[in-house]
Amino acid sequence: MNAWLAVILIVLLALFGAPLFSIIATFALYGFSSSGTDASAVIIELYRIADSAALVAIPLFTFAGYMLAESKSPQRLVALARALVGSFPGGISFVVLGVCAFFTAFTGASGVTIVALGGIVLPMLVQQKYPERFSVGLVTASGSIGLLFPPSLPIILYGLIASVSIDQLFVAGALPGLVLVGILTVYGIRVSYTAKVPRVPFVWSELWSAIRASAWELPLPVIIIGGIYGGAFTAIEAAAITAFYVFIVEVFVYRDLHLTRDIPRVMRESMVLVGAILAILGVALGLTNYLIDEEVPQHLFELVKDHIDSPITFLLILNGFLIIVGMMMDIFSAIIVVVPLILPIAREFGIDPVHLGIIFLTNLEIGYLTPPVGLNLFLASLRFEKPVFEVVRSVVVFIALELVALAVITYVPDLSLWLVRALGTQ
Amino acid sequence: AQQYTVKFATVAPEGSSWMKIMREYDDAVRKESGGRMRFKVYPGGVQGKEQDVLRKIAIGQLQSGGFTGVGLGEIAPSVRILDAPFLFRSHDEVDRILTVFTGEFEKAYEANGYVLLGWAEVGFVHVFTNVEVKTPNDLSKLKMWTWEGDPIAGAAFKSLNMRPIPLTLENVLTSLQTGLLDAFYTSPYAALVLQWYTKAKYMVDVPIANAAGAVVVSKKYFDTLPKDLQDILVRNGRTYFRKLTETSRRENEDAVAEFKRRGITVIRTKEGDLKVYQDAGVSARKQLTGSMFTADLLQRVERELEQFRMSQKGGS
Amino acid sequence: MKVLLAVDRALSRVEGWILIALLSVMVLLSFVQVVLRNVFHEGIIWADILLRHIVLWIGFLGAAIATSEDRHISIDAFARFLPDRVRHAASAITHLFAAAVCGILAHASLTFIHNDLASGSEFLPGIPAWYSEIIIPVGFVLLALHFVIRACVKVAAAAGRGTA
Ligand code: NA
Ligand code: NA
Repeated sequence: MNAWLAVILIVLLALFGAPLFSIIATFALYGFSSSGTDASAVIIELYRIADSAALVAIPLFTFAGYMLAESKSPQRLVALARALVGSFPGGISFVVLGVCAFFTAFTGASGVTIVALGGIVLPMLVQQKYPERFSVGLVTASGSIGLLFPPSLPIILYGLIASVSIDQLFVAGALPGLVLVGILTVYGIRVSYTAKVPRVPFVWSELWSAIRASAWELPLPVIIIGGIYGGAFTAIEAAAITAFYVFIVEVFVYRDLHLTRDIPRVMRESMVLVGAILAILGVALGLTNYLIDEEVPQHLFELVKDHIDSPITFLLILNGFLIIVGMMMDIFSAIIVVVPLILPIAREFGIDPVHLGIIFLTNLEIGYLTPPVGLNLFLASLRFEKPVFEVVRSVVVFIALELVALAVITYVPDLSLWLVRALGTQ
Repeated sequence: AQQYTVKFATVAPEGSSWMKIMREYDDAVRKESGGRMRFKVYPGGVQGKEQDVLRKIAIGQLQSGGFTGVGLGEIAPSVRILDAPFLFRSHDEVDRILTVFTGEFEKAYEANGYVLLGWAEVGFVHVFTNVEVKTPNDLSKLKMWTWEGDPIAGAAFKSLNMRPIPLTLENVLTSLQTGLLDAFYTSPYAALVLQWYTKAKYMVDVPIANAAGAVVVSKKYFDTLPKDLQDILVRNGRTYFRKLTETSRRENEDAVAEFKRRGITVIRTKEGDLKVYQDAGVSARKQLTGSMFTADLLQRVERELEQFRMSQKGGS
Repeated sequence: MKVLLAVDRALSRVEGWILIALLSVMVLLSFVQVVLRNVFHEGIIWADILLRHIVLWIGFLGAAIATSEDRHISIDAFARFLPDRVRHAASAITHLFAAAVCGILAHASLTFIHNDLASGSEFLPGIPAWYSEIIIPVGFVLLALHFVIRACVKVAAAAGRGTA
């Protein structure tokens, strides 16, 4: 069959509502079969799901998230956040931003953040009268920021591939990360004014009673943050503790959830979501492998390479190129395949490899938010039970803001490099 | 002329000397075959870990790969004798065993569908720590990493009374940073490239093992090649991967020199303590017998080494 | 139609209970592992590997239920503007398409398992890899089955009988 006809047919099926995973699988199967490779190549890649330590965190965190969402915990946490930061404009949106960024820094995947935390933080925002579109957009977008903070796995991988000091990269990511946080915070403040998000005066006694009400849930961030940074356990262990702890607290301490009436239902519901996500992830691994096998990123890069004649055009083309790569490939494959392609050219134009790393990750993250096929859009659509189209609408503003930040990060190298020099990080 | 493309995967990253020599090999093959044959190389583990690469070779998506002991053991378990704990004490000993036993290993590979293109060892694997270990007994206090699913390190550590923490490769650096681990094991060059050395203060001089490595090609594919191309592939493979082995050995030595410059102390094991490691080696190898290599093979390798050591002593 | 729907419900009920059992094992095992590792400085050697394979199983069973509940992620940019009957017909076609894709993937996974059997791979020492891998073809067959039943429901709806 004519290749274009096949592609059009598949796209039509997609537009008429065929499950996304079946569409991705079809592209992968079609690609492999046209290059004469056995269809089981897709399964070899899909089976790598059973090989990824990081993925173990997904069911555990999702289950914990669903339990929290189904209990009265959101009300308790909202009351607490309100008492704590409700007097500041944009206070809660800032808290959400921080929590999501932090979480991504550990899981290394902004998609996981959306799935695991989305169900808890979205109600927080909506209950505080933030517009729903803003809230969905914020949660979908804010996971990305964490990639620039330690101990983000993508940064470590970039350091290894580019032979750049990982410690330098962690230092270099700090200010650009803060710029991203800053821009989104300012936008959050603006929205809190335009949407007339009610502000509550700060009252010690209210804070105290909110703390007492959520006393059993408060150790959670301490366990997760303190435990991992303190060296007690890994991110996956943190997921295990969180799931177990939340189960005990919600079932036996607060008794918000009933062991036999609620828990099986919550388990089933949360794992159906995990199943829908893994179906997409599994076949997406297959498609990525087809692209790698056919050296598609390399060919794509060859196409644009000749148009590069100055550092400025290089950076511009790089931005566009990486956003497309981010749309198509998972972050780890993208780093392994693309970094060796662009590193020599970046060196030619005198771009510091540390700076390049920060540009690289920021670009990729925007790629995951970019319609029509940015993966995080679909994950958000699943998690928030909203049509993809609506998620896209709510994310557009955030893409624009992140592009502004990207421009600053790209064209002001000192933002990434100043702190590295100042601290003399080796 | 027919075009033969050998799709090849390795975990070695682009830019490493591993890849540089692989490219030289590719150039030589292209030149000598008059452009009829070439490699298409997938570095950096983009085609997955070693077991995935083997699966892809089995379905013909790839034809060739560079493997460490983990992958080689999947093809022919007996080859893992080369990774046995505390077996070798010098490069000469390694070379001696390869000279004597390569024919036997080649047969084992071929029986399982692979043709050996060349050995390319990772090199001697050392323990690195944050805390000083004065004697082998101090090792048991370490929060030592072990690569999950690495039975050889498992056996070595067990026989040294250590209880290591199994973690995946990508968790090591973070865990060293946070203090979940305070010790790890790898070759000096890998410790340098992976930047793990930045979290270490000491390196134990006695290597726990010599990590093997080899490049193989699917026999099914190899058999379809014209005789002259087969010859070009194997002959150049032997030459270039020998060069790679020698380069790796030099790089490991350079890495140790670099560590010393950066203030990492190499812990010299005392004469009496050496015996502790050797005994641990004997007991670890006994544990691994049966599941990896036969008692017979172990015995023959050990006997060969004994004889080699005697001849070395006699000669000097 | 009633029979088909009953089959669908019965299947997803069984899938649901296995799913719940697997998640329970996962929560307990992962927690016990953390306690052993941090308090007793020990660890169950096979626990982490087993946990990762449970993720694979959970993925397939969850996806199977997602199919019977129409909860897979999809883009309905066109479909929502169509009249009901046409929409049901289109939906029947996309469901059959998805079923066919799952059928092909199920077949491909049999090849995969067959090759792994030949190479004798194990997922834990002494336990052959296919013990875990079997969920891949089984999972895809379950998905295909649910998709076919959903397609039948849509066909009935397009023909004006029953509700979908
Ligand atoms: Na892994
Ligand atoms: Na991501």
